[in-house]
This record gives sequence, C-alpha cells and structure tokens, in this order.
Amino acid sequence: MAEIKVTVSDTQMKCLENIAYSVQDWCDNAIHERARVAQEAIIAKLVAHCNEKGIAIATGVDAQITQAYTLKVVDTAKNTTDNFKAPL
Amino acid sequence: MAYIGNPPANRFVASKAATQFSGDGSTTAFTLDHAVGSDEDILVSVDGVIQEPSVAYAVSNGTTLTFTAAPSSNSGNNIFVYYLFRTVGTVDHPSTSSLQATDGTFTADLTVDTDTLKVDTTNDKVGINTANPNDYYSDELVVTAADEGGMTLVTGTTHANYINFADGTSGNAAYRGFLKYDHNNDNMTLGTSAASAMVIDANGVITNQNPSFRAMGNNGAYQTTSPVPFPSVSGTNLGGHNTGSHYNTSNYRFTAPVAGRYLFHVHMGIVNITANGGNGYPYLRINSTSVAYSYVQMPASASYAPANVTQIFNLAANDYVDVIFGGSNSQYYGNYTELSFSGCLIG
Repeated sequence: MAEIKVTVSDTQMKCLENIAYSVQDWCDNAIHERARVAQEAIIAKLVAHCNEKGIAIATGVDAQITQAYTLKVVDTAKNTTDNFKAPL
Repeated sequence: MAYIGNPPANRFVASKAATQFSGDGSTTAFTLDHAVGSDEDILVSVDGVIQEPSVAYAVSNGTTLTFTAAPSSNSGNNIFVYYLFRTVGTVDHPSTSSLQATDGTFTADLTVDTDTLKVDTTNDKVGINTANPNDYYSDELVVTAADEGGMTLVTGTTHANYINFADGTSGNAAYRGFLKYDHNNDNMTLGTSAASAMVIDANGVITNQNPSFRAMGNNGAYQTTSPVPFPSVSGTNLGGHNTGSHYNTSNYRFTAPVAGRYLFHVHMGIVNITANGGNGYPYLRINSTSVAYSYVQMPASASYAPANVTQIFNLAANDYVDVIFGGSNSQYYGNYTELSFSGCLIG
C-alpha cells in the first residue's frame, strides 16, 4: 500500500475544517474517487485495446491495471509528460 | 558608306570559342572565360585526352572548373576548354503576362494583389485579406474579413467536415480536439479528448457529457440504514445512469469533478412512522456536513409520508454529497421506485 502524506499549515487546516466534517475523510474521498474514475477509464481503454488486438483480458481489477501498463495502453502522467516531443 | 543618324554600335561580338590553361601538376581549379550552366556545356581536353564531365571535372558557380586530379605539367597550354553552350544572361518574366508552370518553389514572400493572399516567408505566416498576418496572436493562418465575411468549408450533402486540433499525426493524436459538422443529420459536434463532448442537433437541442447520475435503492424492505444506500445506477427503463462515473455506487457519494453549481434531488417515497410521535428525515450532506433535510413527524404509529429534498449546491472540486437518514421511530422503504438520489452539473 502506498502512503501519500500532505502537510498543511494550521491556517489551511482551519480552512479545511470549515468545509469538511472530517478533513481526513475529505482527503481520502478525493484521492480514492479520483483513482476510481481513472481506474474505470484505464480498464475501458484496456478492453477496447484487447478487443481490437484479440488479446485475453486479465482477471480482476489489479491484474487489469497492471496489464494496461504492460501492454502500454496507458503510461504514467510523468512519463507521458517527460517523453512528450512536439510533433511540429 | 553614308547613313543618316548615329553610327551603329557593335551589336555582335565574336566570343572566344575556347580557353587554354597550362597545368602544373598541382592546380585543380581554373577560371573559365565564360559562364556555363552545367558540366556538359563544355568539352575539356587535357594532354589531348577528352575528359569525362562530372567525373574528371565539374563546373561550379558558372565559371570555376575543378578537376578531380590536377592536370600534369607540360610546356605550354595543355588544357583546352571548348564552349558548347554558354550562359549569356537571364530572362525575367514579363510583369504583364500570366505565369504558367507545373510547380514552383518560392524562396521569398508571395504577394497576390497586395493583401488578397500573403505568404510571409520571413515569419512563416499566411494571410488572406491581410498583408501582415504576423501582427496577430495565433497567426500561422490569418483571415481578415468584413462584416458577413469569413471562411467556408464546402462538401457534399451526405458528407461531414472537420476542424481538428492535433498534437501528433498518428491515432487520435491527429484529432484530440475537433469541430465537426455532419450534413447527413445537420449535427454540430464539439470534441475533446478525441471523443464527442457536445452535440447540437438539427433542431438546436444540445446534449453533452456533463456529470449526471440517478442512483436507486435495491432493497425492497423497510430500513434505517444511514448513509442511505443507492447502489444501483442501471436497470431497464429506470432512467438510471452515471455519466462521468462521479457517483460512487459503493459509498453512495457524488464527488464533484469540477467546481460549479450542482442540482440534487433525494426521493424518499415512503417514510414509515413506527411509534406515536415518531419522526424521520433524509438529510443532504456536503463533505459529511448536514446541509438540508425534509422532516416528517406523525402523531400515530403506522403512518406513512414521502420526504423529498431538492437543492442546488455550489461545490468546489472534490467536494462530495451524500444522504443520511435521521429521526426516531421511523424507517424508509428501500426499493428503486421509492428511493432514489439524483444530481447533475448545472454550470
């Protein structure tokens, strides 16, 4: 399991406490929801790719996300950004 | 002989038919007396041997004759160059005559009637109806027009046209963003991320991919579970959907993908009061903070009433909204027709 640590100032914490019943819950929800939406998008791309190429789709979400990276259907945003070459 | 007027000038001058050089065994470059256009325009002899053009020698810049190997040193001239063709001048195209060619390469600006068409080769810009396309912000192609002027894409009645925004040449990189008009159905489509994002149909009806959902209960029984479960977003003819997948069917929260105004509605069709004076209420929450509820209280048990809540919330990105159920001596019915939670981004 990966751990993401976010440090906020006391003032920022006070601001967050104003908008969320639980700041930790708000943070967890934001991260988990963004991951879930990305997961659905990745799997959709993987399914489309495998159907087009006649490749067996891995079983289970974990295996499917791994397969999407292995088949280079998707890449990390960092790699995509760092390896981007302007076509012009 | 007698004549009238000025004496005639010498209009015809015999030019040298040949040039002689003396080799020294080391010099390879010699300057011709007349400019020629190609290696084959001269006949070159060295020590009485005819030299092969472009192999034994080459001519550059019209008058520089360069041998591959330095001609030998002999007494007197041993290199003879005979001019078969000469470059005697250049011809300019008459400015009042039309120009015809199969193709052409322009190394400087192309200007048609001052500003009808301007190809600015210095700045690599093209202007239509402007002589200064480089003056504008996005200026690779600039079209200026008077009122009602503009640009038109023409195609057949069963065809579609595109204006595409590309960040590559292969796959959908060639059309990551696009504007499409399809004459088959008179639909205008705006595309982002290489997919249709908004369609304006022939009647002006706009459809888009804004976040929207309708989630329903699937438990045909009375319950008091809170947060209220709405696990189903599908089902035949139920209107369920989860456009953009921003509603989570596991924790029953909608998380705003972008800041904006969102409309929410909670439909709790049956609240059952189970004891005298019992009360119950669905409560809409933002980030687990209770915001709005609809209250039901009955003096007698075995009473039933609906409780609905409709709100427009101004949310920041990542704010989430869910529904809890509060009260005492009450319960709600949890099947899809009696229990639903829906919402959408207004703008």
